[in-house]
Amino acid sequence: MKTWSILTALVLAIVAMINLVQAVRHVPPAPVAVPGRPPANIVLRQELRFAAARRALEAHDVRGVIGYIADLAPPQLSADHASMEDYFSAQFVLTPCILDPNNVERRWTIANLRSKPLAERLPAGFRVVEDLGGGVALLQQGTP
Amino acid sequence: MTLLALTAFLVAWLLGSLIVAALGPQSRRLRAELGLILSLGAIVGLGATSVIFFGVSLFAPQPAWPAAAIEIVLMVALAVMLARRAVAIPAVNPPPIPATPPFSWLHWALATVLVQAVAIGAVVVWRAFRTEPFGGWDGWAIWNLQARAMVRGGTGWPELLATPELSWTHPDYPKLVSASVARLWSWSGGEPAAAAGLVSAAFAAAILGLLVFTLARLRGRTPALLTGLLLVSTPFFLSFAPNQHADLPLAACVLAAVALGALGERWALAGLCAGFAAWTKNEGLLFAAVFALGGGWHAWRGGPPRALPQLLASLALGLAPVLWLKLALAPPNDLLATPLGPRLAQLLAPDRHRLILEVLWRDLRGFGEWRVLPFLAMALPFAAWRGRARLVAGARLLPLALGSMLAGYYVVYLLSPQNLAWHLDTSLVRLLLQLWPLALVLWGLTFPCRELDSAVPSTAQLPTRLAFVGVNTLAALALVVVLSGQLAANEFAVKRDRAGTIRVTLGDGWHGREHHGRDTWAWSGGRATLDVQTPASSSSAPLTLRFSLRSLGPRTITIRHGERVVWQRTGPDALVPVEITGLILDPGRSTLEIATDTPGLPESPAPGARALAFALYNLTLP
Repeated sequence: MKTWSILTALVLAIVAMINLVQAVRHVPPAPVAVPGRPPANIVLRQELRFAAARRALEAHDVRGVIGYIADLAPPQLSADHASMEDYFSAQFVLTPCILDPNNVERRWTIANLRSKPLAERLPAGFRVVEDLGGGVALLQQGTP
Repeated sequence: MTLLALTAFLVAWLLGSLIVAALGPQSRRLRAELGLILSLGAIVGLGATSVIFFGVSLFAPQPAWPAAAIEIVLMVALAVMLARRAVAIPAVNPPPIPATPPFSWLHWALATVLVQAVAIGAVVVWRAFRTEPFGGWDGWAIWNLQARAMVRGGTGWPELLATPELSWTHPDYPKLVSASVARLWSWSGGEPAAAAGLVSAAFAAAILGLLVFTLARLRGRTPALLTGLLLVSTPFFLSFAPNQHADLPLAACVLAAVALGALGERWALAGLCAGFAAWTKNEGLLFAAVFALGGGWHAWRGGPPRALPQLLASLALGLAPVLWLKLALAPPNDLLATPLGPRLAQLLAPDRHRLILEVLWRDLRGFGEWRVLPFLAMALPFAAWRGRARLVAGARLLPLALGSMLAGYYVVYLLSPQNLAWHLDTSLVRLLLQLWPLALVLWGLTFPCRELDSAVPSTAQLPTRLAFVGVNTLAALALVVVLSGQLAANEFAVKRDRAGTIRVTLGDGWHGREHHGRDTWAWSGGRATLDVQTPASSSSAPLTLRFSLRSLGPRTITIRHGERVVWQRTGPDALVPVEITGLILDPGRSTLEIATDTPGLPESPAPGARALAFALYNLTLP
């Protein structure tokens, strides 16, 4: 009985160690930061990308629900995984403002464009309040 | 992480430990119970402080300090109560000191393996946190987003989360995790990701401690140490520990309630933990119902006369915040928002049963992300069948809780209004992870090895203990140093010398680094870059890169540094050795571009298959 206990403990310890080695190989050290390149993690990238937008929203005392414009129109946006991840993570950064990708008829709108020029996606009746660079801009409906 | 966020965590832990000690049997010595108390203390403390913070946040725009005042008053009251008890009890009824068999060499060996496994596990947890500081998808998109809403939204955060545009954040989800993170952020005055990671990892650590110390009390050291080892060597448990989902916090609350039930004491605490399970995640509501029935039955039959009322009262206390949230503050749950009637027919749909069972079978084998499945090794001890332990009294709660939770999850999947395949693929492995600690305790309790001892400190002599601590500390440090040499996720080669560190990392255009055996490679679809970082002092030293380049299909591959072509080859499929010598790079980052004249070929006929043109293998810096 005792010998069997020792043997099974040994087998279990070996299996555990093999699995730990697997864990170490499966989870390498986090990507190293490379100067001039954005972080590998989507949330950290968005924190940097939307830092100025967050400051701009606070400066203009914007609260509640605001519009959200991306490269894709709403029907295509919801079907595109990368665009939805972009939208969700933008929402994470810009909370407590609430981004509405389905209705840009809000007084304030955030543009988050990766490939299209702002002029192409700028809704009628909106003006650019602040171009925050990299395809991010704060828009407002109506004339100044 | 700021010092204040860490202080907030320590306050929660201390408060929880005081609650656990206060609700424990008066005859037990605190020192003998310390491991159990500290493990339970983290769970109870985070649960209790999250409830306080949640309540205060509904009325106070800056809830950190009013909530802290309540916590401190509670701590002082509990400390006074425990001090009075400590003074009073020995005079009346001095507790007996249980006889403890000394640690055998097997115990020392297993404890050493477990400590080293924990050291390796801690490295994995740290890496997983550094890779995703705000957690995985649900971590940031649900739990941390809700925490941000609580911190940034003032007292109106429930209305903010209830906005229809945020329905995808599941605003009805219980708030133990979000409120705990928001509490740490409120104390710190910022939103450090490390605070959220700390909350997440603390629950994982508490699970390990609770599992080991409970089994040590109930069954002995060998099953306790082996079970701890099995948990720590579950790769998914480690990588998920800092992932900031609510599944491990739920697992901790469930384990705490069941473990306390199995110990047959602290029924009030068991009920509170079951309530906190419901305050953690919707699945916890199912557990609370199961525990009210199963735990209530055992408390009534096996506990002292006041056990059942204590359990039910504390369960109601734990359930109060989640009921308030669900009934008064949050929109309906998405699974319950659609009418149930038409979905009842799904209970009898054979396709759904088949799909659930197929995915369950697949995920049971794979959810732990093991290299070697532990199940066969776990079955080995039961070859000594006659020596197996039979479950008695409160320990019978374990199979009851496990079976009921699995059955409940099965029915929820049957009734799910979501696409079933998607629902299973995105959640089942996490549900299995929630129950994995319970299953391990059940395994440990039936382990055929009769060596009951108690969790009081070992009778080993001080030099032996010191040697154990010293050897394990040195070994753990050595392991951490060895593991620190592993390449980061985006690194291809690193060379360290007195001049500094030269590092080659993947730039744009790669499909990610892959490896098998000793080979490491990355595929590109046709144009990619390598970043070479050099220290300032090595600016004038020429650099040599050595690697192999594999092309898929006939093509010309050109490597450029700026405008200068440093290597070129035209030819068919091949794996050719490449050596680029005499590269003079500016200090800082330089970029090498690798491009081909022919588009990449699809990896397979499957839609969305990767386009592959060339791969770079085993880059070294001689």
